Amino acid sequence: MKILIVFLAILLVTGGCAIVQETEQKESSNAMTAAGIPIDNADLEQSLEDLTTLEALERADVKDW
Amino acid sequence: MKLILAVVFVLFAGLAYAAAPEQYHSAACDDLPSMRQRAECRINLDKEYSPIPELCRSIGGGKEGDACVQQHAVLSSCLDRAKPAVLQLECARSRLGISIDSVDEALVACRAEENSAFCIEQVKYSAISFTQFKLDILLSRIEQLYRAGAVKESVAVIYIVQIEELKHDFYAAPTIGGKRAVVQRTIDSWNAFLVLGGLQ
Repeated sequence: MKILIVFLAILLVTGGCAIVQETEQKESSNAMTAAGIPIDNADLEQSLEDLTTLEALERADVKDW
Repeated sequence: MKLILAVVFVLFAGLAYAAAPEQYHSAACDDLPSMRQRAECRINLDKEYSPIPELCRSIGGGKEGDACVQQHAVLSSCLDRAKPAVLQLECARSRLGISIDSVDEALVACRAEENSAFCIEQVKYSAISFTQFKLDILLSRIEQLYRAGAVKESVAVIYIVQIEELKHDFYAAPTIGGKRAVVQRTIDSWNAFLVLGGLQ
């Protein structure tokens, strides 16, 4: 019984930490200065992903696409 | 008599300067020989004005130069400082006719199109223009951060010049892979700016 309680407690703490970390990451991606000016990179990661897709398309034979 | 004439001259000169300060400043900035000097001059202007975009300046005249100025004109109002970042991106999306979130999804939609090759070209053009606009957002953020006193002038100028150069490299890269590499360099440059500017 004790082992089960300890196991559940560890599970709870680990889960809690994961949620806090995720929230912090989300907050930092929308980080702003005290003057309210955003300092994230204007979603350039999405552009990187988009250009990777287009690059793969460019390399592939478009006829086969 | 000489004193009166001198006073009148100074008065008129002052009035003439006050009547057209924007033209005076913008012309003065655009005429400076180096990009660094122009950047230094522009971030210290009291009023906003529309300079010749550095990218279009480097392209020069001709069809390409005209297309550059035209595209800048279409998207520049989306950079309105009063707009939150999300709305700036939304504005550019709608001007470029981008309705789907990612290129992946847009390409899937192209499969259903009768003229899929044309559709793919459109997706490519929009993705490239939208990415270029994101670099403009970074430039405008550096200016805003400087004006808000969050970063030093020297740091702001270094990174304005660097991002302008990256904008040119992105434009000039002949392949999508080359453009992707420039985007990665821009992300690295932005992270370095945040560290050097003491913002992160």
